[in-house]
Amino acid sequence: MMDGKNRKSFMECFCDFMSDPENLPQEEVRAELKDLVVNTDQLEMMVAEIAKIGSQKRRLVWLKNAREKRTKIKKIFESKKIAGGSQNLKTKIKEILKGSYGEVAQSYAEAYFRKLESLSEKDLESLAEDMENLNLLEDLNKEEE
Amino acid sequence: MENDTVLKLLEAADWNDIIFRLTHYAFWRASRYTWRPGKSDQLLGGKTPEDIACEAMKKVWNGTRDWDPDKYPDLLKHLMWIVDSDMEHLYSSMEHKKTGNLPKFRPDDDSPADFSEIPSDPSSPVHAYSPTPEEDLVNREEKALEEKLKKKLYDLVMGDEDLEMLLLCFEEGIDKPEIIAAETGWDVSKVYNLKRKLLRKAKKINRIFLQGD
Repeated sequence: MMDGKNRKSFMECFCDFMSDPENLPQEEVRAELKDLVVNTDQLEMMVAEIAKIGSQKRRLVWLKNAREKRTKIKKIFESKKIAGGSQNLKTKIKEILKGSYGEVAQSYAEAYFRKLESLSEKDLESLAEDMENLNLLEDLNKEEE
Repeated sequence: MENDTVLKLLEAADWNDIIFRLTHYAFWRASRYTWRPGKSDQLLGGKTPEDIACEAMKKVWNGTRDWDPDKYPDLLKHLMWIVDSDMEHLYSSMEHKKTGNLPKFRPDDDSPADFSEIPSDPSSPVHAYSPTPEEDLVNREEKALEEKLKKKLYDLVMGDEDLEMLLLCFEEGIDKPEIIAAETGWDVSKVYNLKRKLLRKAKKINRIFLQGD
């Protein structure tokens, strides 16, 4: 039993007990709302609208952030002098920079590029090997899944 | 958690189910305040429980009250917390405007700490505040109304021993289904069934709350 000092009043207990929607079937909740003269059809439409607008706004923010990130990475990539004849590795590194291998791999690659003034095929091989040998890509993919 | 993951979770949520449960919750939470003199829509500054529920939903979507699924996996619970917080704020500010008093401190409340609710220092001269005659009168009126509503509730469940026992639990300050089950020896599912039984009497209960009938 609750001690007297902290005890809730009868009405507070009653309202709190009744307010908890857990374990109530939706039909009963809906029927109760109708009894309370709540227009449930209108409520459904309002909710759909809020979710639609909210989703659109969030997607816009997400797209803006993604574009900014892509531009930033592209600049880093373009600022480095990538040696010719290493097309496959370049493609692979590009994928890493695009974030296809996860954010940690992306950050790792970005940090790696910042260290170097120019990049040779060997540098690219080294980067890819480092990441593959450490099983980093696999672990990251697993984490992301 | 990544923002796009939160977005996906929000988009996948069953909003119809959520808004019905949240509005149900908001209605009963409002009743917690509105059994006092006055009507629910007046006390909530012209807002209805549906408005409060929809505003909570908007706040989650627009990030005003961002949802962190890692910390709070249950979206409905997060929204219920927002409803609680907004309603407490609304009620407190109205009570403050009406009486000039600080909001009541509710140490048993589950809602997160609010600095405006910090109890006063016992050594402070302000601590030994005694109500004005007007406040005393309001308090007595509230007490009388509570007794009246309580009596009507007992009349409503008269003859049903289980529901009467449930009301006795409320007298003891117990309202959590698990604790009620432990105190009465019932299975917790029985407590939920009794709640449904009480809800079926909702029309009468609502009339008691809304109209003081």
